[in-house]
Amino acid sequence: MRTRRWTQIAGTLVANPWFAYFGTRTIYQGSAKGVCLPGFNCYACPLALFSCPIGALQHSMVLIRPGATAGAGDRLLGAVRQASSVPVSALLYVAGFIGLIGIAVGRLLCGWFCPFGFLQDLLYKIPGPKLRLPRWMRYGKYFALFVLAMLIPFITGVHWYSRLCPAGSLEGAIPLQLLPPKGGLPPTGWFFWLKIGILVAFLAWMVVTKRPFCRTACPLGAAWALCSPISLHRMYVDRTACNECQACLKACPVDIEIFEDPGSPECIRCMECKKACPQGAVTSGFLWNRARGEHGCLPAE
Amino acid sequence: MVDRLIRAKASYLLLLLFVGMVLAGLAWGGFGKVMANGIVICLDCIGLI
Repeated sequence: MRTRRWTQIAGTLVANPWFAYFGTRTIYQGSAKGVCLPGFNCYACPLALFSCPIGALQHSMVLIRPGATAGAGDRLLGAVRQASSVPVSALLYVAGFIGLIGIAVGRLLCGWFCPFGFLQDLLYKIPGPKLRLPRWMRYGKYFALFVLAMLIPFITGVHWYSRLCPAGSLEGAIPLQLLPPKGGLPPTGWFFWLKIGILVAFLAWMVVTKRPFCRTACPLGAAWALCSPISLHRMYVDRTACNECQACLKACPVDIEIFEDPGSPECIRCMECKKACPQGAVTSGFLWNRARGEHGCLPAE
Repeated sequence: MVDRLIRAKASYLLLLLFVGMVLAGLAWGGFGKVMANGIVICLDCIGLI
């Protein structure tokens, strides 16, 4: 099996190692939940040990509202945690964390670590008719980031992205319905079924299109995509060696023509193009390696 | 060349900015406080309320 598959499996296990839930039926709420995971993984998942950076970002946006208090869910779990003293510091921490990963490695962790990205890679392997994603749909993820995950939570005080998030349905809502926490759960309403509908639609889309969630709806991917063109780790294409055979395009899990734009915000740095290129024209490396001429990095101009 | 230098410097400056934000967030609020206050588990977020 390829190295990337192993790191994706490891990423899924690192994100969800709280197997004690099966015995205790208590969602982990210890200090590790304060550490953001560098990937998309619902922190309401019974097995989750770390927090979802987008869930944390939304919560930070809610907390910086004047007079903000913790949500209804906190009361249910007996964990009312008002944030009157440190709302801005929480936002600094979460936004800084997301930006730090993005500026260091761009979207590399989408391709190598993210459990939800791993699921999409697996589902696309199911044989059947395949569809390409229209280019304009890529902008949906920026709407998800700036409007659903930041602006609306700030205005309304409700974590609207999480409320609609298919990863939350798959990793949080469904497992908690099957194995309810101690104390039980309230009866589900129509909103639960709306979420399930969104999840089913995305799962079906993942079978026919390469990584549709990453490319159209992931706010974490959007944040890292903004950093990607100027991240310290970059992809390079030696234009003198490239003959545009498009082997890289066929191998790419997000349909990028990397020979056109090595710094594409969509690139998840999976290195499939690097392996597929018969000319060895695609390389990658950090800025300082490139300055020293390592990795076979050649000027992009 | 100049453009590449500017972009490279921008990357390092942004790296410093984000490291500073993380450290400021932790130092200002206190690591424990950020963890206790900034992160919660919301069942309403996953459609169960």
